[in-house]
Amino acid sequence: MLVLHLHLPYIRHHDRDDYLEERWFYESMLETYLPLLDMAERLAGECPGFRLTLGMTPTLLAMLEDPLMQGRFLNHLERLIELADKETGRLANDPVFLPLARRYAERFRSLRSLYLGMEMKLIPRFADLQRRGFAEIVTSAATHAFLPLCKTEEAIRAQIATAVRDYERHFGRRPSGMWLPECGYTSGIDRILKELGISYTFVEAAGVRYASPPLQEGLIVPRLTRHGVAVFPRDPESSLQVWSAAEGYPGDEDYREYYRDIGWDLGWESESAWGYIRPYLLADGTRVNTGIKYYRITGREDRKEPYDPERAAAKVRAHAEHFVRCRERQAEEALNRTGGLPLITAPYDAELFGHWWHEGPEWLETVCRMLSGESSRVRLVLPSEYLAGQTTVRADRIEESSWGRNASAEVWLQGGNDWIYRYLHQAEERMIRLATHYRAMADRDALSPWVRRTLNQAARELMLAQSSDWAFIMDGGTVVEYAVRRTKGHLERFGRLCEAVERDKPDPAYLAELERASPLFPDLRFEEFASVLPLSPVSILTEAQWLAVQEQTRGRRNVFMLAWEYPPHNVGGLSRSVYEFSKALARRGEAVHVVTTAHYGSPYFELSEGVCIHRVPVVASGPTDFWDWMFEMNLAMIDHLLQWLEAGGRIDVVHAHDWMVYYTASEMKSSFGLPFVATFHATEWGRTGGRIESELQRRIHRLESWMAAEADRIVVCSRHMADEIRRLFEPSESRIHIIPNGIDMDAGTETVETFVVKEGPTVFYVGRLVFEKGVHVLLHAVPHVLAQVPDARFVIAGAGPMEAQLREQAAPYGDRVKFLGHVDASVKEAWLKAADAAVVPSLYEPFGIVALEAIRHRTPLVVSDTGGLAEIIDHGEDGFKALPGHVDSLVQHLAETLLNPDRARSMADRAYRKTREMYDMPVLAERLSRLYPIPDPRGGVSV
Amino acid sequence: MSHFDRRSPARAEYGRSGADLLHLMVQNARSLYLYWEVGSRRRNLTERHFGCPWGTMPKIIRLYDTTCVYFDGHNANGYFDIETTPEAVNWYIHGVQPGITYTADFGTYSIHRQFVPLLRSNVVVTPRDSVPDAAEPAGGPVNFTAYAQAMRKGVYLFDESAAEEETGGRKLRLPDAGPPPASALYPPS
Repeated sequence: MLVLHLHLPYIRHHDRDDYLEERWFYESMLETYLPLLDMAERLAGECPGFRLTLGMTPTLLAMLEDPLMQGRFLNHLERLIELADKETGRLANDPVFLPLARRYAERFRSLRSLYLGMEMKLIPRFADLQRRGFAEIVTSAATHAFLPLCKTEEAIRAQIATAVRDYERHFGRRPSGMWLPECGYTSGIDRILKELGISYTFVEAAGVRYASPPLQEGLIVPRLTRHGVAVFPRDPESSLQVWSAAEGYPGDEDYREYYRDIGWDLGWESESAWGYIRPYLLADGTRVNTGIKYYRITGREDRKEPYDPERAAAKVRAHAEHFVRCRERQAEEALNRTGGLPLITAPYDAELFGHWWHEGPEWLETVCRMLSGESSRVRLVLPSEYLAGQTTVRADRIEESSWGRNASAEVWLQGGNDWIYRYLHQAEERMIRLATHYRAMADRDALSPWVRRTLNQAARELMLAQSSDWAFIMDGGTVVEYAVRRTKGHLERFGRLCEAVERDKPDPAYLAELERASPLFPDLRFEEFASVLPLSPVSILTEAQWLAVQEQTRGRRNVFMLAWEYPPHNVGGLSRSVYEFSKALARRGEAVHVVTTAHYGSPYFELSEGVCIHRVPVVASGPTDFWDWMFEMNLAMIDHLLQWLEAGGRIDVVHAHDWMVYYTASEMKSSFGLPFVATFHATEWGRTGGRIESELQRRIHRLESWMAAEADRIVVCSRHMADEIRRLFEPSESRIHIIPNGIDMDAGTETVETFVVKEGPTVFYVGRLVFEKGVHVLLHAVPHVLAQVPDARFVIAGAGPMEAQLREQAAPYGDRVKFLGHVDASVKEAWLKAADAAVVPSLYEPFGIVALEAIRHRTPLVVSDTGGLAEIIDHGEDGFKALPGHVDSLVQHLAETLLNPDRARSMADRAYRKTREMYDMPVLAERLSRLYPIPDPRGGVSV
Repeated sequence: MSHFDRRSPARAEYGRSGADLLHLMVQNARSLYLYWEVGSRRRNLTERHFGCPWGTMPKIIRLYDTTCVYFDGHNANGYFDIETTPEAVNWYIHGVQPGITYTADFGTYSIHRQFVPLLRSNVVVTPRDSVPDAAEPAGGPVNFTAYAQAMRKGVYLFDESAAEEETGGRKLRLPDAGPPPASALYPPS
């Protein structure tokens, strides 16, 4: 199967006609495209077995149909005829070169009449060959972008979809096959091809050779990828025979030498000689190839012999025979080995034939004649023909590959051209954003024409910037400056067009100028760049969730609570407190969001009990110090909130809980002026008993002081804490507010009795097993309490670093002291309810929410007279307060509670009534709501 | 017009000044290319946290082998670190293995030489350059559109259709998001 890939990058400069690079079109037309078409039509008329696959890239097609380029080529041809005539004049007395000059004159004339005969339009003639069944034309990416190096699926899709649409316009049918630019393939491209109706493509041998599972058939049959695209692997042997600079046919000494063109050879001896050739060079005198060359390769040395057409023709015949014999041998070997019908895929750049290798078309024609003869054992075939008749072999995966250096992306990604990708990729994403946004409008028919035109032109500019030709040139080092200019130029134009749309500032003159300069892909639709998935603008939400949230929170004040932990992640009281307040505020009809960290088993985003919970994943690497993990958490929260804002979400108030989220609150305030409220659940100073010694403790203390300084309001849970904050951080008076923690008095009361096995009057402790909770003090009290209440039991729930130590301390008391470890909420509630006394022996306790939890069950309380606990309980009225750390005091009150259950119960009832009044969540939530610096739009006074 | 009827007041002039970028590309079976940009906001936050100027901080690339892994930062098959130069904005990583899935982090070291990532890259797969063993499983990338969304890297060019993943009804879950704080004293009650 012979495949010719015809491609030129889009080089059309409507303002000037003397670009060196534009000459590539004229040269290819003259030496490759017209001769190939001529050859193909001749063969179609004479050899019924003739088959040729042609890849024609959209950029080339655009230039072929462009009247400007058609006209310019005609001029070029006329000029060449003129020059050839002059040459015959100049060489009139030279017996060696005159025949050669005449040959050129004749040849150019015949090409001109051929060209004019088809009215300068090549495409319809190629289409005709396809219709008659002699050729199959495949498409390629719109601007020949190297697809594996694109960043997004959308960009790849747009390249292919645009090409398919353009193909339909030219050829009146959809393409079945596609030539991947530079055979650049990567996993997933086949899925996109299939979705756009392409059923086959071509890859480099390496992609299939190393495919898994490895296949015996080797390279002689095409593969079927998982997505149902047939992939034809390039045959290395037939490729090398033609391509190789060292061993390939084109290097033969009798073939025409490319580098001895009269455009370079003439005009050195005299002013008049210069004047002779100068009109046929570039306007500024730069030398160019004219296409008239008189020498053959001869050998490696510089001395070249004149070209001898007959010798060259003989070589052509010999090489053609050689090629055919090699293919026959290959096919026979393959047949013997596998028994299936072997297919040799031989793809080439079309420009090799004629332009680089002058005798190429002749050779190609000879080969085709031989292979389409009736006695030929190997015949030519078209891809669709082959696929219709044969089953393909399934491959699990085709490797990423190309036909460039090392079968990899190296050529297009190396030191000389890697700089382009960050710009191309950012441009891709910008285009996708705009396309997604405006597609919605387009669907509703609400899109203004100038926006559509601008976006379409922006898409064009982006695709032109993506042409792999520029990177290729930068790698090859030829006209690097031109390639750089094209890349930057297109990106710049793209940027300006996008800005015009983003800022709603149309620039019709500029747009028209660009449209005039690159009139390609008239059917292009910018919508091809729209997001494949309806990605929500905020990564942890689905689009449906995002829209729902926007709808629900419209017109309301959006409060964002930042908390490093939130249920089901419960380590300390902070989680409970934030939970209760967020729920209670939500019940009041506020839009409440909690931003916390991702937790295994919980969704990233949910709406639960009226609260929007955002659980952001933290990017960490392996075990990380707590201090740095806190930093990573803040980075994640900040990224999330930035996305939220950029997407149009509202944040009206930030409520930060404790120092761990300080960075985020501070950043939101300094960047966006968002007011923030800081709740101090505790301080480092308090936790360390006033001894800030280690580096970490000092740092935390510093963050706390910054938070106290920057917050618009400070909230604490008790008078004790208010005093602490005042002493430590000296904030202005008016900023500190006391709102105790509360609990929902109506929740948590359904318990499951079976969790609890009570063996006697029970004292229950639940909380972290850390020093400041004073559990060791409780254990010291145990023997003394047992002395007074022999069948008392002590149940200790919770986990922490002191556990081992405490267990050891409790060992002498045997089964009187039971450790439950960490318990979940329902077990905790069950024990609180069943216990005869709940004890909170803390040494440092900013609040002591567990006391409220006990009161909720009307369980008698014995607490330390410290911190918030001291403010919750009135001693002797609704509970007992023991001196903190004082064993005797604790013993006395515990014993009294256990020995006087009636009194204990009535105190507990009094506690219950008081708590209902003072610590019930709805009341506290209202106070908090009034506190926020931005007023609730539904009324209420801002403090 | 009430305060809440206008567009959000927070939609102020936050420009695209220094968008954060980290993108990994395959050059060939044994070489990768990484480019990055750390925006000014991130740099300032990092400076604040570590208490030293950005210019003096080590700039580290950590490259993970994440073949067949739903990567969460802790479960790579292996990794190695590369110290880049203070002003570098891209890097070639040579000597990687063919047929392996890679992810990269760009970050710095704390004073205790612990790696703190600032940006996490997309995922790439190097092609093979030799014939595989017959029994080798296709070590392709695990499709994790959901994770990709979470890391805000956009849709990836993987074999599964992204849409299939979404409608498969899989809830977005992340394996253990990170170790709990190391120190026993924190957080407070």
